[in-house]
Amino acid sequence: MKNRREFLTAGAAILPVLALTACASGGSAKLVEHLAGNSCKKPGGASAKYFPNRVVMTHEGRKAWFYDDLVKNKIVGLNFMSIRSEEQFAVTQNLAKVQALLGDKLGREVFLLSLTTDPEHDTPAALEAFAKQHGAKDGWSFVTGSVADMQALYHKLGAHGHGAAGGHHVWRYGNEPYARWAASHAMAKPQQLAQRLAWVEVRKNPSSPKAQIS
Amino acid sequence: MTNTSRRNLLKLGLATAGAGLAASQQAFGVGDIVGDLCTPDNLTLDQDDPGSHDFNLTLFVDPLPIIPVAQSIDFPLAPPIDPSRHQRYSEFVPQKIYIQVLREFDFQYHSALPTTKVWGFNGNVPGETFHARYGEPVLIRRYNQLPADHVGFALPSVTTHLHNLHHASESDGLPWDHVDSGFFWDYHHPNYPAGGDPLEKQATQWYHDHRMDFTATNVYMGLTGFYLLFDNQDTGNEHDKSHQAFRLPSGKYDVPMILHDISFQEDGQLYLSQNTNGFLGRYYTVNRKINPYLEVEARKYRFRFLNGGPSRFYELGLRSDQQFIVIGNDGNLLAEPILAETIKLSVAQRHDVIVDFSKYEPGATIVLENLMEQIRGEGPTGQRFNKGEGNPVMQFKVVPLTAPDLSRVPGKLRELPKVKLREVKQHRLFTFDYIGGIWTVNGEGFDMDRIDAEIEQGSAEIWTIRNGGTRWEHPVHIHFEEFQILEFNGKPLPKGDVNKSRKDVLTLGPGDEVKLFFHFRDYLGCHVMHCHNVVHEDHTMMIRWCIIPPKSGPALGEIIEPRPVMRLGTPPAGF
Repeated sequence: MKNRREFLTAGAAILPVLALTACASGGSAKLVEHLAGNSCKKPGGASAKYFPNRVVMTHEGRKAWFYDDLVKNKIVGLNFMSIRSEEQFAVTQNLAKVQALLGDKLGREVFLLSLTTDPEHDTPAALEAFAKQHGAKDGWSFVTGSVADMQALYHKLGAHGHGAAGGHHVWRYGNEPYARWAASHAMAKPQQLAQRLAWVEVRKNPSSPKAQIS
Repeated sequence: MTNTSRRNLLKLGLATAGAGLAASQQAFGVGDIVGDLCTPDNLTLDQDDPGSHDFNLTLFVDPLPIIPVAQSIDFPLAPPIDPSRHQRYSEFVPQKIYIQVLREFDFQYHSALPTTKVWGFNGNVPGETFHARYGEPVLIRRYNQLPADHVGFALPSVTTHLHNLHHASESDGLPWDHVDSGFFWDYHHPNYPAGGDPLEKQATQWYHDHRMDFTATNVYMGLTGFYLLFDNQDTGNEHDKSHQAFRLPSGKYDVPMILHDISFQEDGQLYLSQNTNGFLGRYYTVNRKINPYLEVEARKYRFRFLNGGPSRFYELGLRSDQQFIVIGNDGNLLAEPILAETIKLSVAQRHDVIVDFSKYEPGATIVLENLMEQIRGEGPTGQRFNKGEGNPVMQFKVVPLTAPDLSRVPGKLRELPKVKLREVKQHRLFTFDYIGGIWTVNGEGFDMDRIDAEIEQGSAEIWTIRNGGTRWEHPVHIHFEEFQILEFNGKPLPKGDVNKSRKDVLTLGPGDEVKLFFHFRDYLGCHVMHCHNVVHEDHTMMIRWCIIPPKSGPALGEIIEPRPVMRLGTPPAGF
């Protein structure tokens, strides 16, 4: 429970609005229970044990449970970034090219999540402007939150103890309901990243444009 | 774990924390990552990951599974083999045909555990052991019948790599040659030594999944097996009357053993973390059984130890004064046997050893232990446990001899082929390193469309492999052609070093730099080099290199264009 208390403190400091309103998925009772120090009841899911279910905020100003609202029941590509590091490491530019390849699948079958490692600077408003600058469409969310929450997500999904902002190189992808997760290089060629999202799709009838039918 | 070893770990935990602090950067700030590092009060080992359940299992309860030998089929394949998909097919027409079907099934890792969903070959995990012979080409048709809607960390799309075999690119099981559920692929193995040189013959190889980004997960689910090669010397018959025959222990006295460390969820299904640094399992398995025992007669045995990964390194020793007689490294017989107290196995390495139990009385037990200390998936700590204090792997129980032991260990085995430095046309440098959660070679992640080295067929090259890191080890594996080590950190290997051999896995410790000699022969096309800590491999520590036609003279083999792709089909009745 120590971590939970830390979350509460940090969350209240950075995003006080969260304490007063409901989270996107669970309604106010759920968040109140959470803030009272009780563990938040997770509805479960194939990857529920793996993804920290932290309260975050998207660049659209939407409050969300990270796992329940942004990952669950979706195919997602997920990376870490910060506005201030984009010049040095142009991962968002690369993902904008992936977005173009995904076409109308984005926001329906496939979702992109870009999580900031610089939440104090990368407020929802700053991320909104950044998203606009990169032409982000519906289905590509830039995610921020309290330092503690974003750090928890980062350490679970990005860095693994090898230092901080370097985790910008990891691009995780997976199919949540099928619990299929992998990771590659965020700066890989856009078509290769888009192809990876297709790999984790479930095709119940064998068929492939690459396959030769005997 | 003993108190002594625990204390060692605690000291190391402190050291690790210091290194992590030094590496911290911007954004979250130095202070923020302290909580993620281990401290003496709450040191956790990767294998004690809270996601993995401790079943408190008893050691040495289950017998070691003896892997069945693959049986060839005696009916024609339908659809038939397409020779145009294989280089040099007409020179090496398959004399034996095999079928393997990859399926999901239930398996019990320990008699006190519930069953676990695993993936295997023809209902076997590990898959059947192939007994191949030089001069007898084979073809294996593998059908992927894994559930397309599988729920779990692995991907039911596979590619089966026959590790270190000398065969064409399209039969190598490369990361991009994947076979989805419902499809099959034909693998053509000529069983022909590199360059036609008898000194290049091999002995203990293995097959395993190599799916891009999903090798660790798919291997972990069970997709591994042995492929043994025999010839006119290593005949696989200890009674062989031929004067050439080595008469090494054979039949039931020749035991392939693959080591994997695994963890479980509370429901008995396999657990694997998503940590890109590596993964350490809670339990040691041999041939997929947790800490098994093997009844051994009081005589000589040939054990073929293979580290099947995903990320653990081993230093195997016996809790007795018994030594290993090492006869092979990385699947190749040495020039002469070497006596060793312990043998080190980084991921994918093999050691063929003879253990002589003849001095033991029936009823005696001897424990095989791992003396290598490792608390993180990224590599061992550099410390080792004292003899008798290591982690138990399995147990040998001595039983009476049933027949005289006629096997032998010859004083001379297989000479090393000559290193022909005058044929070297190219020097290359490859630095294995890390950047922000991703593992790199020469600063780049793997790109399946990028060719990182083009090599003229028939030429020799010297590759310098450097570890750019100071905290991790990499078992570097090069496909297709074996290498010999010219220099290790600037010095030649000492006489009697077991690594003075033909090799396909280089154990690259922190800061190491090693020079390797290769000769590239017999086929054209692309292969890969990668870290065989399969978690590092899946997180892009791989390059693609290709053999191109020689600048003068005819080429052996041809580039097959378009690249063969998976074919739709279901296995015949009975499979």
